Formats: sequence, C-alpha cells, structure tokens
Amino acid sequence: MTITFHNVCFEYELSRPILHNLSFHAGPSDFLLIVGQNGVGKSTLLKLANGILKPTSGRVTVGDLDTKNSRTSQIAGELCVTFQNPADQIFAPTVAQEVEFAPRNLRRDNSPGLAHQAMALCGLDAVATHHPYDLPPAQRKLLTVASAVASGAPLLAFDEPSAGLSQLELIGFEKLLDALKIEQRGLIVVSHDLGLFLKYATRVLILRSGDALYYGPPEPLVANEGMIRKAGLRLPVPLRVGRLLRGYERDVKL
Amino acid sequence: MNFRIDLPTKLALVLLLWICAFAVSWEAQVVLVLLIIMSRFAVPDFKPQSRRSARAFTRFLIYSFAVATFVLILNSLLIRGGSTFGSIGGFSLYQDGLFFGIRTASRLLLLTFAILVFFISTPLKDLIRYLQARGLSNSFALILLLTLHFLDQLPARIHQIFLAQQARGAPVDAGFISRSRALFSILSPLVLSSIVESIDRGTALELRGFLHRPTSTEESQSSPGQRNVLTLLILFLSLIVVLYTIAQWLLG
Amino acid sequence: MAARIDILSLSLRYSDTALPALDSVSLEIPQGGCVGIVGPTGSGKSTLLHTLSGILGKHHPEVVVSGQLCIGSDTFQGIPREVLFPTVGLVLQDPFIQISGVRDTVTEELRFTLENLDAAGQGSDQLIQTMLSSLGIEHLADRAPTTLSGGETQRVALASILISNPSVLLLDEPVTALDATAQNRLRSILKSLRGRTTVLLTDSQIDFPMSVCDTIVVLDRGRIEACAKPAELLLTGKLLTNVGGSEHWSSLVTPLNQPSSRRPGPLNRIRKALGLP
Repeated sequence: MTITFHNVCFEYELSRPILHNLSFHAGPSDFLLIVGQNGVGKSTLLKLANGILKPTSGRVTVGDLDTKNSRTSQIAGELCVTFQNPADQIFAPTVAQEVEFAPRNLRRDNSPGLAHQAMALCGLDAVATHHPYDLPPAQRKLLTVASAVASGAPLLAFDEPSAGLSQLELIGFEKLLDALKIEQRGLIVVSHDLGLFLKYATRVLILRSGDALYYGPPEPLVANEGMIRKAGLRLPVPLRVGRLLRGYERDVKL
Repeated sequence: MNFRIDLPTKLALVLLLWICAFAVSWEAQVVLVLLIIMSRFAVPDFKPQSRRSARAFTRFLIYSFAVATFVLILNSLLIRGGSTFGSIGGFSLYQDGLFFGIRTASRLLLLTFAILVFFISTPLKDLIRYLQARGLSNSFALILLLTLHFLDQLPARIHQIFLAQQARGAPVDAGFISRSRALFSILSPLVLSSIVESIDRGTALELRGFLHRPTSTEESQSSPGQRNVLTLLILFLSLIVVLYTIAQWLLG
Repeated sequence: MAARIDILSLSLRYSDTALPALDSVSLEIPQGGCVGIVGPTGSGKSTLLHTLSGILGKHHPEVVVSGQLCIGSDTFQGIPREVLFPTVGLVLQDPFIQISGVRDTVTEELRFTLENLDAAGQGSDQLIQTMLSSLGIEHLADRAPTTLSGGETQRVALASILISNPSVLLLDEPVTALDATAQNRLRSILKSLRGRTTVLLTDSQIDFPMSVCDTIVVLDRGRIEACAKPAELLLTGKLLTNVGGSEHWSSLVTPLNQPSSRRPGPLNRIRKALGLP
C-alpha cells in the first residue's frame, strides 16, 4: 500500500499556486518527513493526500485508489490523516470511545482490541475512562494520534504531532514510532521539529514556497546544513552540538 | 448640530418602521418595504458590511417573498369570504382571504426587513461598543461578544470538524442514513470545543482588562451641540404616528 | 517601569485535590530580569503564571493558599484575587485565543487594549504605530486578525499586551508552535525588553530559555527542583532528565570546562554567549 504524488500542482485561486509539481511516494516501513516554514503548504499537502482537496493537475494515488474519484472516508481505510487541532475531532465522552471511532467507521474486526492497543502504545491506557477534555492539551494531542493508529490503516499521516508535548510524552512518542516501524506501517509526518524526527526519517521532503527544495534521504542534510537553512530552518541543537564536539575532539584529541 | 445616519439614527429608524408595521395601511407598508430594499442598494449607510451580509440579504429576499406568497395563498384558501378570483388544485381562492393575507404578509415583511437592513449594515461589534458606551454592563457585553464570535466562526468550524472526522473514516460524504449517523460526531466537537474556547476567550478578554473597561467613554460624551438632528426628527415622527394611531382608535 | 517579584513559600492546592499544584515555591525575580520556568506537563508552570496574573485567584476563590507574594510595591497574603492588568500582562499559550476577534483590524485590536485602560484618546494612533514598528508588524496594521499566521498572531498578541506597558510580562509556552525564524524574532524582542520589563516565560523544552533567560527555574510537581543561571546549570550538570533537551546540553559540560587554550572557537563562542569567562 503506497501513496504516490505524481506531478501534483494545486492552487486555491488562479495565479496563486500553492504547490508546484510535487512528486514523491511513501509505502510500508517508510517514514517520510515533510518540513518547511509555517505557511508553505504542508497542511494542504495532507489534505491532497486523503482526497479532501483534489489536485489542480497531476494525480494522487493511494494504493489502487485515485483521490480524484474516491471518497475520503474510503481512502481513510488505507491512509488515516490526523490534523493539528484536537478540538476539531474530539466528541466522545471517554478516551476509549474516542479512539474506537476510526476502527468502527472502517468496520475493522476487533475495534475494541485495536483501540486498546493504540492507547497502550500512546501511553493513554491509564486514562481510558476519562473524558478527553479532562486531559491536559498535550495528552489530547496524543489522543488524536492514538485514534489514527487504532484505525488499522497501513499508512498514517500526522500534522505536527509533537507540538506541545513535553519530554516525558516525547519519550513515549518515540516508543510509538519504534512500534509502528516494527508493524511496518508507513508514516508521513509534517513537522518543523527536526530534532525528534530526523533520526527516524527514511526520506525527507523540504518544501519552500510550494516547491520541493529537496527530496531524498536525511544523511546529506545532516552533513551539510545549507539546504535546511535555505528553507528557513535550522538543524536541531543536538546535531549542531554534536558537530561542534566532533570538531573539538578532532582538534584537541580528547 | 449635525445631520447624519449613525447608529442611534438607524435604531430610531427601526423603531419608526416597527410602529408603522402596526399603525399604517398595508399599501403604505408595502411602499416602506420597497423603500427599505432600495435603500440597501442606494444609501451608503445601509449597504451590507461584508460579502456574507450581502449574500444573506439576497437569500433572505428570495425566501421572504416565497413565504409571503405562501401566506397569501394559504389565507386565500382558508378565509372564505367575498368573491372568488381563482382556484388551485380544485380549491377556490377568496378575495377576503387574499386581503387578509396581504395585510399579514406586508406587516411581516416590514418587521423583518427593518431588522435585517439594520444588521447587515451595522457590524455587531460596533453595536455592542455603542451599548457599552451607554451603560451596558461589561459582563453582559462579554457574553454578547463571545456569542457573536461563536456565530461568526460557526461555518468555518463546522467545515474543519467535518474534514477531521472524514479523515477518520466517518461517512459524512456517503448516503443520507450514514450521514445522519455521523451527525453526532460533527455536532459534539462543535459544542464541546465552542464551550471550552468561549471560556478561554472570556479569560483572554479579562486578562486585557475588559471587565474593568470604563462604561463612560469619549464616544458617549456628547454635548448638546453635537446631537444628531436626524435621530431626533425620526423619534419625533414615531411619536406623532403613535399619537395619531391612538387618536384614531379613540375617535372610532 | 519593571517590577520586582518576590514569591515566599507559596503553596496552592485546589480544594478537591490532595496534591498541591504549587508546593512551597520561593523565588526572587529582580526588576527587569528574564526568568525561564521549565518543567514537564503538570509541573505547575501555567499555574504559577496564572496565579501571578491574578486570574487564577479570581476564577478559583476556593483554592487553599499559604505563603506570600510581592509584585512591585504590592504585597499579597496568599495570592491576588483580582486580575492585575496592566501591572501584570499575561500572553496565553494559544495566540489565536488571545486575539479574541473583538475588532476587525490589528490596529483596532491594539486600540481595544487602550480603551480598556481609558487611554484611547489623543496620541493613541502614534502609540499603536510605535508598538507595531517595534515588533516588526507595521505591515499588518490593516489586516484582519483572523487571517494571520501563527507567528504573526503571536506577535500581535504580544503587542496587545505590551501596549499597556506592563511592569511584568508573563509568556505561557511562547515557542510551542513557532518555527526557527519566528523563534529568533521572539528572542530579539525579549532581549530588547531587558531592563524595561520583568519577563517570566515557561517552556517544556530547555533550548529556548537557555538562550534567552538570565535564570532558569526547573519545576516538577509544583516544587522548584533547581534555580540557577544557564551557565551554572551547564557547568554543574544540574539538569533534569525529564526536561526536554537537557541531554545534549549535558554533553557540552566537559568540553566547556576545559582550559581556554584547549577549546576551539565555537565552544569559546558558546561560553561567551553564556557569560562565562
């Protein structure tokens, strides 16, 4: 199950194109990290991925489905997308019911089991019977992630999943990423948090003004910060510090 | 002294029109309704404040005339008096019913159009500000502002929620029965998040000193030399109409 | 004028919970200083800011409090029970909530703050213009607040509080949704406020506070676990594992402590930035 963007262009209005000629793909076990400054079109890209928006030209295919003539609720069975604002989707009286929503809609066997597993992976099993609005904002964010994981879709896409998470939650989130890798689920993550995701990414897509500035493995980006800086971003502090230390060790022979 | 259409003038005008809806003949009411509709296009102070208001006006125009036609036909069918002037599906239409229907419809149209043109040409935030300057309590103004914000954002919020649930497989784009089942997953986040957001917005306004806002501001301090003649004239006219109607009723 | 803050053994508990939200917190923040409060979710960071602003005391009269709080020349036995605006200005975590959409343009949003202070008379236009320029958002003057990006909204939210000239500025997790460029801009703005306004900001990660604050306070479960200058925290390795980002700063401890002749240029620059000799 692979999602492929074939030369996709998109514009909301004429003469104001947002995305130009984007081509990339993500399949099982892939981790595609999409980065770029705020406002560059990253969220639009996710809406094109699950058919909410249709490309102005080019094609987006999810497995055998072409987004131009498939319903989003159909595509959700193969690619489940989570957006930035948890308040847009939270409706159930308990965390467990909220997480079970997606697998139920998609008529998965054993929806409660899938939900239970997703909650455990996201560290929410202790609060399964709590009302979602009784959780702190960071855990509500994790709730949306758990909800997508429970869908059982082979491909998952998250929009800024780590925003607002504190260190303990981030450690838990990293465990989730490891577990999803083992299950060979494909991940697309839109984020400006390079510190967390760069080490998991198998491919990175850097967007600048709607164009693909870079599409390829992450290693060249770490070796040379130039490409990242062109996109208006910086390498995360640990990597910059690591480079400093390696230079230091070389010079001083610690 | 000045002579201009400002918020108090518009409020006075709405009062006059509402009095006329009960005090003048249906012919005069119809003329007033037509004048109101024309003013929306011809008078700058009554023009819609936004594209959304303009669209709302057009839609309301169409619906109200459809409703007025329905009222006419219904009354013509049900109030059997006077001669018949036609029939629908074998049922006769009566003149007495028609005239009663015209009087009812013209009154309804005048009442609703007076309010409509006021609201499409006046940003509600300005209205709240005006009321606050004239003594509306800050707490009540806070409630009004939060409600206004909720209504303002309602279409966008519904859309965002719709997209988020659709992305989780909710059948909001399928058949009627599926969509009905998915309705709860749209309405519930809307209500929950609106309540939570309103509380947070209220806190944000408090943190900017809104509840201690002085109720008397420069806007409300008007000296006799600055009173709007037009407002006074309209209020005077309203009084004349009321007195005339009472006199007519007393004299039989 | 900036105000000094003294918090003396402040404890705060909601009446229906056994655990305190703040537990014997004592802190001295000098006039015009910049303090960063870091800690995991639920450590009490937001509680502390909301307490200082007065909104917590107002909305929760039932809280059980002990200790004392002094802000400038005002002393509170326990906590303030009224919103202390404009002495204390609080910028909320979500800038979209802070800019409440009460007005249709950014200029009018700022004027709204002045109206609440009965200061929207003569000279307010000039004041608004100056404030917009100082934050680099004069080009947004006539824009509708609801059409702005996250970084732009945050600067407008900041402007809407700064225009009231607060003695204390509180920022609740200001960098959560900001990209690197926007963070740099915020860093410059906070540096320009040094000495003029006392600033307190919270973060669940340590990187931003380390680069901008004079003092870092580490909170965990309502208690202060550490309170030191960034350099001291580094040199003594006094960092908590559940504060985000601490591990890579820890790796700098040994190299930074080497004699200067053995340190290459980049590390010297870090030491200089941290105020170390």
